[in-house]
Amino acid sequence: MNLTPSTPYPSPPAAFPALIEALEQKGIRLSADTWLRVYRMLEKNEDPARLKLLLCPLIVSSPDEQTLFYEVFDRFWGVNKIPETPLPKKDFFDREKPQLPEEGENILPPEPPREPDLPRMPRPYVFGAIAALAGIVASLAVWFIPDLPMNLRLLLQIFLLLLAGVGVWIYRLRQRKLVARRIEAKEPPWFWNIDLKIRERLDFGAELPILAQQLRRRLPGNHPHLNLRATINETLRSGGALSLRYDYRTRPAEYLFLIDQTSFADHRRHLYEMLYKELLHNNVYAERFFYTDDLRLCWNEKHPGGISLEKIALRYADYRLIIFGDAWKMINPVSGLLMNWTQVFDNWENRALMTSRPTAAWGYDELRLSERFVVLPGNPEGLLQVIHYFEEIKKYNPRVVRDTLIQPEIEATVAGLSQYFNPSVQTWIAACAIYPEVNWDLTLYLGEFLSGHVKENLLTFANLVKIAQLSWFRNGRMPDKDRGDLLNTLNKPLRLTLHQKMVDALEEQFHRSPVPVVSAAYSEFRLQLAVHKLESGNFEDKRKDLQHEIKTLIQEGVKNDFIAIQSVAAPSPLDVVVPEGLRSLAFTAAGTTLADRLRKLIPSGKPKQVKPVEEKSDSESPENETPQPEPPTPDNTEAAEPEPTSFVSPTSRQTLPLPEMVFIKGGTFDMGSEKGEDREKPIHKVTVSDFWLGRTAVTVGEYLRFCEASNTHWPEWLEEGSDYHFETGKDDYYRKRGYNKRAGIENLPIVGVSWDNAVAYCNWLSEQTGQKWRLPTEAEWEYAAGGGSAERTIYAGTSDEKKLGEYAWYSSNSNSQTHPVGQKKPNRLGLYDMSGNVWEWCSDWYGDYPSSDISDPQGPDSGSYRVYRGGSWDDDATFCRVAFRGYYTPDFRFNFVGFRPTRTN
Amino acid sequence: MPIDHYQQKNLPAVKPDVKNDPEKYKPSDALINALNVALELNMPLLLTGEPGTGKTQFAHHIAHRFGLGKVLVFNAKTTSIASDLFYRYQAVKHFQYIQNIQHNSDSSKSVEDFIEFEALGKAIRIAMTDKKRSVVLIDEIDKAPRDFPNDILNELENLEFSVPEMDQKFKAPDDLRPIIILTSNSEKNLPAPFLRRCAYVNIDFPKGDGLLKIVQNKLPDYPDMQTWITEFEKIRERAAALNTKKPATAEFISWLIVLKELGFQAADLNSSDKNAQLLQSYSVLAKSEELLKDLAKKLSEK
Repeated sequence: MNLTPSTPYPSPPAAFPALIEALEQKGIRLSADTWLRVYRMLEKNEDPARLKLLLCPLIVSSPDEQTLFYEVFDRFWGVNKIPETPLPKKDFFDREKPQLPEEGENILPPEPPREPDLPRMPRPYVFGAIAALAGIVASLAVWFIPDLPMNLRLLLQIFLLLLAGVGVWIYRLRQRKLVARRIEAKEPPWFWNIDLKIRERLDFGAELPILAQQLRRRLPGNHPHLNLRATINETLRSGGALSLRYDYRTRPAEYLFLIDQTSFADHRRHLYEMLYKELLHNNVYAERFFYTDDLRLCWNEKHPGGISLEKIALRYADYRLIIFGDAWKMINPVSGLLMNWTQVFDNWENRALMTSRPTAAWGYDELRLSERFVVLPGNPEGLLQVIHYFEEIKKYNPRVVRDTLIQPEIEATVAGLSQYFNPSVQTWIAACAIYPEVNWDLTLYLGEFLSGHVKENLLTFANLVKIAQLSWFRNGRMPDKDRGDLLNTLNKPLRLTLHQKMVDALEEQFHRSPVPVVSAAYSEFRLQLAVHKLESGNFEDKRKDLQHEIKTLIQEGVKNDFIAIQSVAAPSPLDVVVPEGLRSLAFTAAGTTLADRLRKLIPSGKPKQVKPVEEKSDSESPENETPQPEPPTPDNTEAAEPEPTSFVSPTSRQTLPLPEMVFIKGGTFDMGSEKGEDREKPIHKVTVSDFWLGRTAVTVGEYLRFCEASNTHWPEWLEEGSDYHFETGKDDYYRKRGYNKRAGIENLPIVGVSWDNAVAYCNWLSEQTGQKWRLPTEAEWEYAAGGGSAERTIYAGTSDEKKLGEYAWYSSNSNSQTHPVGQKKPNRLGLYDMSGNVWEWCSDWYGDYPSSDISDPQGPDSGSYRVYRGGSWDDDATFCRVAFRGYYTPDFRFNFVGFRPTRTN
Repeated sequence: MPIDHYQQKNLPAVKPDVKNDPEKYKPSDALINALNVALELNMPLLLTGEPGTGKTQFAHHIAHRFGLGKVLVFNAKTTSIASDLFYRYQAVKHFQYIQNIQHNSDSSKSVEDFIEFEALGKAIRIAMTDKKRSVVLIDEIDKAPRDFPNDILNELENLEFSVPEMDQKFKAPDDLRPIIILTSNSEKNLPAPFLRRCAYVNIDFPKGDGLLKIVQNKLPDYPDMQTWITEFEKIRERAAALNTKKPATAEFISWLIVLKELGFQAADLNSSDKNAQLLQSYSVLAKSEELLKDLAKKLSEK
């Protein structure tokens, strides 16, 4: 059935080897047997038009590869087909190859904005400089003017100093623009990234074969099959009466690795990737994904655009899960509890977290994480324990792990190194300071060289695990001071050799993958090459030329470092012309540390897009950042962390003796809901007068003050002898919801109080204050919850169920617990937690609504049930609607009902 | 006129199933060429693609086209092991038979009667006895345990097996090798050595003209096909947006048949008079409550 395809390809297959090369560049490699098959097809096939479809089945093995093959082939044979998806795909693997963008594919960064040529007239920066200088001089001169009143003198000085400040600012701004304009002439690629194509294999030590063997251990399957031999033996033994013997088929264990790749510079990511490859090599069945901070979105080669954790959980359910990383995103920064979404991990029966935090630093977070994972240190010792705990999970105890697998916290200081590393590794670490950027390839390259130098194989997994703990190797940068200190520990000949090694490496890389001479990357390369040539001492004859080149490049604004500056500044300390870059050095250093601190404070590790202009003008932004696509953010934005502002408790409760009240201006509204349940109908117009309502539900702290004063009305979980007592009770009805202690939970809403208790509390407040305190009526409550008379919302704060999580603790986000009051957003009237967290008692008896308009309704005169409102942590969204009515007998107590008080003037 | 079989006394006559008619299957060029490669180099052909793109049907199509009789199907399961491809020995049955041999009227059964040949075993025996090639379909190989694909590599290449219970060996003559088609939902990685030894092709879901050809082949003379394809692709987009299962070609064809039965025409799409019928027909397309609700909502907004 030789059908002819409809689209013929015009050119002959002469260029075939070049096509294969193009494919290899895209990561599709042909094995020897594939080559043979391909050649057989080429021989057999006379029709070049069919080549694409004939070769493809032999070469590719996944849908993505197939698409890629078609694409490359079409491009190669000059068939101008418009790609079906013209939009640039978000591809995580672009970050693997930071030297993109390719020709014609100008992805990042954007063109620097072009300014119109400024008029050649007086330049603002000259004004700036003059103004600054004049300001300072004049401000000093003020003191020499006689007969001036003191305060005027001061005022004048302040004014002139301000003027000087503005001057300096204009000057700096102008400087930046100048630099930017110089750089404008440059073209991409923008950055010179070390890429040494190191094919070095790590020594994983004696542990790896053991580990691989452990990981390969087959699992008992759950499919019985007949054991013939045993059946025959058994049948014979029982005198011919058939007795069947079964055993279970085993299955190979499969592993799913999730590796944190928050930063490409992070050495841990590369280390675990190598471990993964080594394990594959050792016939361990494993699959690997990367993630950035947040595990909810992962990616790998097969899913370059990302795949959600839920999907992974479905597809790889019977795998054993091993996560590499600190996983701090799994912990709610406010409550310290595991985030709700981490429940997805329950899909895996066996799950471990190999944390890169040294055991010495383990604390509360690790304890929390160990509720869901086997938490172990991510070093060889830790890895060897994984299978043990997978098989006997009951034996796992994080405290025992912490105390047996002792791993000290290593501080990244020169002094600290000597405590934890042997001298040769110390030398290796110091050698890594030779280049402004700490880079995995470079670390291996230098490690390999030093191994020969110290006659000891430094490239071991164990060494690198330890090194990767240092912040320098996690962030990919060393502060200038540390670099200087580290380099000072190297002896002179070694340092010279290392500079020469850098020259070799740079030249080798440029030879292998050159960058255009007009590019910014080229300037960076030239500068580094010149610096290392100069410092190596092997190019003394060209000393002057090199220094000149370095100076020019620094002045051009090429990214530089202190070694570069020293290399031109040091030889002539009397030189009055300070190189341009030096001026900003002090500022840069300070800026870097400040930026570091900020980065630690801000809980987002997402790489910022770097504009080259800023980057070059002053290196405030981290040096190692490369143009990277924004990683996709998880779809589920609701579950994202609350804004930091909402952490702030609205009041400082300890100091306030009374509940904080919000004034609610009276008005008319439609009470009830047509869409709700029958008891919410009919909608009727209700007018309420002005009143005050508690900003939050009454808290444990506030309520207990009443109990202590009166020694009555204790909540159910504090009542002596109660089955529900938080300490002595046999029932954990309250205990498991967070009411497990007396101190430290003052800001939780009170629960376990009946309607009677709540009324008693209000009466007590009235006695204490002489004001009129009571429970709100149902109408008041609903009026206030929905936002008063204008623009009423379905839930307190919002009408959008999707946004309810921002305003309320309810079944979807509460983690089955109450939460401290006032953590979510308030509604329009400034009231917190009206929807969700706890139901709130109202003063009314429960009964049908009247059908006519009414003012200040008080509910039926009698009844069996009292109303409560607002829904709780235990309820779905529909119960959190402001119109929904709950009710129960007035003497009953629950772990989900509390109240908030009302006061009238 | 809505279909209401329930009101009629007699069951309707069974209509021929056009969806699965191998005669009317229209393979893509890529598929045809991949098959040629596989045949030329004696490799198994591995097909992936989303459900409903006709992976399984392609096997039936080849068998039909080359007159190779019925496709021999092996459905991979989570418990499959390599030897299952050839035969299963019904040991328990055999035991029981032996035990009760004096009570049995028929005592002539031999061990062969308790050997059940499976797809590849059958194919090899057909090659030996009938001197015929056959098509073997190993369906959803990704369902099998991780070591299954590697284990069957040799079996697929050598095409021989022995049955120790019968003390007999079977081997297909080289010129009568069965054609082996494997399918996978490509959810998991298959091992690299296995992939290397298969001809591979991924069947993309047909778009526009491709889909038109396929459907016209099955339902010739269906009016306003272009409109329906546009409509169908919209629904697929909705399904993709909702992250639910996308309806495939088979569902599309069923839908078209249902629409015809309901007397719903392309022109009716523009008015809301026949919304009820359209909604009724959606149940063929939407395989999830979510999608159905979404489509219903869109209809109500029309």
